[in-house]
Amino acid sequence: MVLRIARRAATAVLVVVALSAVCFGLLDAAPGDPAASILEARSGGRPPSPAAVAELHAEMGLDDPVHVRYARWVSDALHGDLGTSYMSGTPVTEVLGDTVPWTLLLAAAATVLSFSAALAVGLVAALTRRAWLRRGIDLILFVMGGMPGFVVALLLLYVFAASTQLMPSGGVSRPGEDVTAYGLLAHLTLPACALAFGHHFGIYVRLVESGVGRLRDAPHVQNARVRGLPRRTVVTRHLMRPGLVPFTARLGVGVGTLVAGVYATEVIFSWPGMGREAIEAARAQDYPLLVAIVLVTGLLVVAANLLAELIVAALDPRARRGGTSGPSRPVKEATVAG
Amino acid sequence: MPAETTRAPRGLLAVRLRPRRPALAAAVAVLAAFGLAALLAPWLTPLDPLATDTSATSLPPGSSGHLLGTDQLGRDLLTRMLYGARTSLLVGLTAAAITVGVGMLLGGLAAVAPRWLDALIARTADVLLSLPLLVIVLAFAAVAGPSLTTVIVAIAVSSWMPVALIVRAELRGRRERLYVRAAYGLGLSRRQVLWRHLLPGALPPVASIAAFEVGHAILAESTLSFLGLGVPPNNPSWGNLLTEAQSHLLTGAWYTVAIPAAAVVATIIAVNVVAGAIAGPSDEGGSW
Repeated sequence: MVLRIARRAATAVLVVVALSAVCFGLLDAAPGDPAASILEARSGGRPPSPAAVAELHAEMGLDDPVHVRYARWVSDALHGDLGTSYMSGTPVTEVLGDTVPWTLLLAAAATVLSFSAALAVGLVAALTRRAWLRRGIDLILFVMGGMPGFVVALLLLYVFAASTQLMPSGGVSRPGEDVTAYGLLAHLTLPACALAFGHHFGIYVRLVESGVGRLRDAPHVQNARVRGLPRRTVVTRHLMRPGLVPFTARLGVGVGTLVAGVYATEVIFSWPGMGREAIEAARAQDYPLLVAIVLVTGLLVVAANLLAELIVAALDPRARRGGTSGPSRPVKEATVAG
Repeated sequence: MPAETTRAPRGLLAVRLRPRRPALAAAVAVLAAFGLAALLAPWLTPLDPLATDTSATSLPPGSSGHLLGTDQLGRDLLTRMLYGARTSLLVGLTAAAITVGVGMLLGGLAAVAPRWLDALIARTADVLLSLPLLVIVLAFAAVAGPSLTTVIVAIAVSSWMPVALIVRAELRGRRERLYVRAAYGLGLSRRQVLWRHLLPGALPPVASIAAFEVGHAILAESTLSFLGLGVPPNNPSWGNLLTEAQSHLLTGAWYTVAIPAAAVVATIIAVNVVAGAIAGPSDEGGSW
């Protein structure tokens, strides 16, 4: 088990290194000269003189070879310096501190919602003997499978906020009011639902359904039934515990998909998180901020994957022994979610 | 590994509509209709998708001369939908074709290449699969500037991995099969075995995932364009139409959102049905 986790951790380190290289590459390839942008921001929009630009260019070390710049960028990042946002002129880490907690709240709510709903629906689909119910679930999931996240968000916005006004249409509190626990819950509901029930929701239901359904008539389950164990015990101990391993194994990737989906959701519901900030940064070509958000998102996803791996190891003795009998690697996950 | 693991991804993704004729026929009909509408857009509508008409702004659907109504600038919605279909389907098909091409090439290469190259390709695919790619695509689109090419390249770069891994697994799984060894035994060259025996066997799963990639690419394009980082705004696509319409949702012009959204959803569902039919009946135990 130690070996397995060490191996996973090594892969995670590799992913982080690749991620940082991609981020640095993007930052480096971004059009425009950072020195010129900074001088222009300092002088209030007046175009700076070429001599001043060249001087700052050298001062910032932008003339150094690429590996030196990369090393310096990594070192700065590790010291908590990710540069200055062009848009606001504040350090990027400050912007992140203001926005990332909101995104984590939204993503956590959506994660809990998505996975508990998938568990419930999947169990019903696997255990029911009513064909119409199973077909109904199949059909609904089928239609959901064709809906990009942002379409779900727009639909919810129209039905619950625009036409019936049951729910607030965006933000975290009513204009001019402080954030309260109740108000926050009301504002969180729609974005969390939109994020939770995108086109990938069906995948998790299927994982529960196929994992549990396969065991439904297995000998050990029949034996448990014949021994007269209560249905609850049969379902929880003999069906769910072994049957949910593929589902649990997928949770890490699932959290990643959810985090990647916050962008469109936050834009549509004016949620003050890093997703909306990233889109604004992309439109305003505020590259330091954009790249920092890419980096943070990637780190969150890697952490989620590693955590899921530990949970699987705790649940599945085969995985603990370091065998490969665990569930197969996710081959296809819709990585673009809205 | 048990045989089940190679089938699982398909079984999970392939919606379990058994290829019963009505669903498949409906899906093909929808795709054909959208395809024809896209191809024949200039002949189907006399209007210009970009021309504004201040005398006919924000008309509801069913107005004379504007079947689906007009937007705030007086641009005919039906015309914009038809030209939008051109962009969306073109991007979807091109991006999927490049994705599948690159995936097959890298997967095939990994299957026959020396061990280090195989490991390099497989590990790269693993690393990319564990990154949230929309984020990187967003950043890439922002840095490269919005254009059709950016969108297509971004989608292809972020989605070749599943294809490559499946091709690699299929080819490696077949290398030691009896019929392949028999072919070598009969004196066929490596190239002949690859073309005549290995690739044809690997094609059905690849065809199925290729179809899914089309749906995935259309979804990706619409999401990127919706966020304003995909197809440039003056070039109508279904995702763009949704961006512009989004603000109308709260003012009651819901159809400006509903129509493009329905087109996106119908296309992806139809593609999924076709892809599922290509994949064949799944044995995941569903009743469909």
